[in-house]
Amino acid sequence: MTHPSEPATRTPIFSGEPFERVVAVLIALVTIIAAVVGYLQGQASIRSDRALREAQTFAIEALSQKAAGEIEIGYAWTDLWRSWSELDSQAVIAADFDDAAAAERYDTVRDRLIGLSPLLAPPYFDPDQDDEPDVAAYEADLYVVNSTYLTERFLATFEMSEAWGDKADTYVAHLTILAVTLFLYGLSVTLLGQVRWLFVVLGSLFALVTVVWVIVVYTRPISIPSEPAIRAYAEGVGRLHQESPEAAIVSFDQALTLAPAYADAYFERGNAYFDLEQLDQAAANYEMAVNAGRGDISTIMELGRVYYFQGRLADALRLVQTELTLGPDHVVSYLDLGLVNLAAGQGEAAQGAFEQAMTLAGQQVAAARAAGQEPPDSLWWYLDVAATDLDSLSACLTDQECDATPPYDIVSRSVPDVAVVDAVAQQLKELTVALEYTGRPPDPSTGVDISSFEFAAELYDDNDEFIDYDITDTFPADIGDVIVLLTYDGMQDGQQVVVKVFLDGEEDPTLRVLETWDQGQAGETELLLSTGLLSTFTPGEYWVEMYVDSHLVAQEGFTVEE
Amino acid sequence: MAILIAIVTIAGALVAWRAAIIDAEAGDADFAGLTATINAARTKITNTNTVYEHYRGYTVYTRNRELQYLLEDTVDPDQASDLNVREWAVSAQIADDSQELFSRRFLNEDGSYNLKREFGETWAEAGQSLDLDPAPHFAQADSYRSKSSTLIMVFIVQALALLFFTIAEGLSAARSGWRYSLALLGLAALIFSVAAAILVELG
Repeated sequence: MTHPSEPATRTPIFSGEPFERVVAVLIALVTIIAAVVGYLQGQASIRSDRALREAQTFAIEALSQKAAGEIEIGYAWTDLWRSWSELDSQAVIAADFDDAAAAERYDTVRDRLIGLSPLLAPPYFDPDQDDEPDVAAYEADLYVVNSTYLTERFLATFEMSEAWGDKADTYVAHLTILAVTLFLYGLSVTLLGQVRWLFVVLGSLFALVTVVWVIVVYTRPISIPSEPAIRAYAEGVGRLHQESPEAAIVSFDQALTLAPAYADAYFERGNAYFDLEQLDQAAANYEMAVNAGRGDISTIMELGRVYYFQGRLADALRLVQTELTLGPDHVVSYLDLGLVNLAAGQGEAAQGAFEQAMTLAGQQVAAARAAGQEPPDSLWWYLDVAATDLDSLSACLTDQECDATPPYDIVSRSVPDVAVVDAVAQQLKELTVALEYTGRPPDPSTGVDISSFEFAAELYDDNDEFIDYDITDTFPADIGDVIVLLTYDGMQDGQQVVVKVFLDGEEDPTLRVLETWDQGQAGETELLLSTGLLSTFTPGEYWVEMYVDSHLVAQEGFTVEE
Repeated sequence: MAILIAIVTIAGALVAWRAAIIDAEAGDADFAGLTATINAARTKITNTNTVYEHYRGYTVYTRNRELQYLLEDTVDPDQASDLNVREWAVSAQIADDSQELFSRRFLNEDGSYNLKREFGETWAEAGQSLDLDPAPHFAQADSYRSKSSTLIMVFIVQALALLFFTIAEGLSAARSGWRYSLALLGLAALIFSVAAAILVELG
């Protein structure tokens, strides 16, 4: 019988020690959470591994496509095209000698070669219209677009692998915290009194924070450019390779519509705008590339260069400082620093930077030669570009021709003396020649005096007998040989003579002359600049520099008319 | 109940161990796939180089043989100049010499060169001594990873079973309905997980 006055006894949910039962349930719950996190970690790890594998595959395929493509191009250009042009020359010469039958034979064999490679057929080559095949277009179609596509896929999948790897690593951290939680729960059952609840609360707090953190990591998106965006980008690079920046911009626009954070596409679109001399758009695109995560030295250099051309010298200087942070031993960074400082009127700082650049260049060449190696090709390129930039700055100050410099009003305001610019340019040019041919800086002055440095064409009579020189600085379009007439004193036999010929500001290496002097101390002589028997000088502005033992002793220009 | 908890714990450890082993096998398969990718790339580059070396020889051959034939066709031997005769001899000799630089079995009926066939044959030849196909290895790696992933899911089910057993163990005797229900749920989860693990291993 029960007594109505007695309170009803409540059946306990758990038997035994309630604290231990609660802890046991918590341990089981945390085990489930850990199992789920373990599953997520496994999934992230699998995706990371798979993406890494794909990235490696793309990288290998990109390299093999490029290598195989270049072998094919090598055959088409250096073997087949050379054979074609040889036969073409033979046909022309045979025709000149009134041997029509031989000319026809050579023409026939020449035409037979056309079928051996697509390079010699439309759309890459039409003998009736083109002087030579469009190799860039053939390269673009053969491998540039595809290898660019594969390289970008490599970069994208590698980035994805890294992102999934980060997630997997974070899940491992979560599992570690959950293990600590389990330890705290386990420890709590060995304790007595209220303090054991402290361990349970602390462990539960850890578990709760971990769960929230897991959710945050799980929902964090991983974004890479899509396949169509990469395809459009690669097409753009191919078009840029063919020097079609307008068409390239269309492709890059498409890529950026599909992937608005595609840093490489911004960079290449910046290059395309730069090629079109649209500096504002170029700068904007380079800036967007940097903002999208492409902060490498090449992007910084290009952006700094655009700022320099725009006359934003303070911004350019800021970027050169970044360049120096990214590559403290880069010759090019000191050359840029010198140039920007010079344009900004900081003569002393400019001189210091150029001296540092020249010292570094000398050290790099000496180190390479000592190791039995060649210095990096980029070194010559950077030294040449720096000298050209200084020449442009000089031309801007003297002739107000400021195509490749900051605007005239900025330059003229800040640069006190054009002679300073010319002196640095000459130092750089002489250093380049000296390093290229002797591996060390130039010796002190040679004492050579070139009192006359003129250009001429040879005049012949009807019997092909030489009559005289026609001294001029303007030649007709069909000129094949230009004679340099010079009067000299202070020369010594055995001295090295280098003549560099620049067409519209860029050296034409096919016209470079390298001789060992054997014509005595003083007198008059001539040097031949020749494009060969059947070729002619390309129309444009030519500039000739003569170096004796790496010292610039004479320079002058001539024009070849259209 | 304690025995069931022990069983589920041991089963969980076994499943986790197998998942780790299978994941390692996936890594091995990936390695084999990448090796095949490198083999294929190296073979492609080497073969392209070899085939184009032969094609260079064929180009020289074509140029000189054509010149030789054209001279024969267009110049009357009785009226040929010394220059013609010398050019004919040089062309014929170079054409003969350059025949050594390529295989005539790759010439088509019209005299053109079958680059595609030479590529195909050199690829097949390389394939006899090298693994050039990464796809099966990558497919196998994916299959292993899928197995490993499924086993981890099985492990989650086992963790659930552990939870059911733990709660059932802790419930008071007065709540026997709940106890047995949870124990049955745990047992079902355990049996399901073991069966799933066996199926995954066999499949």
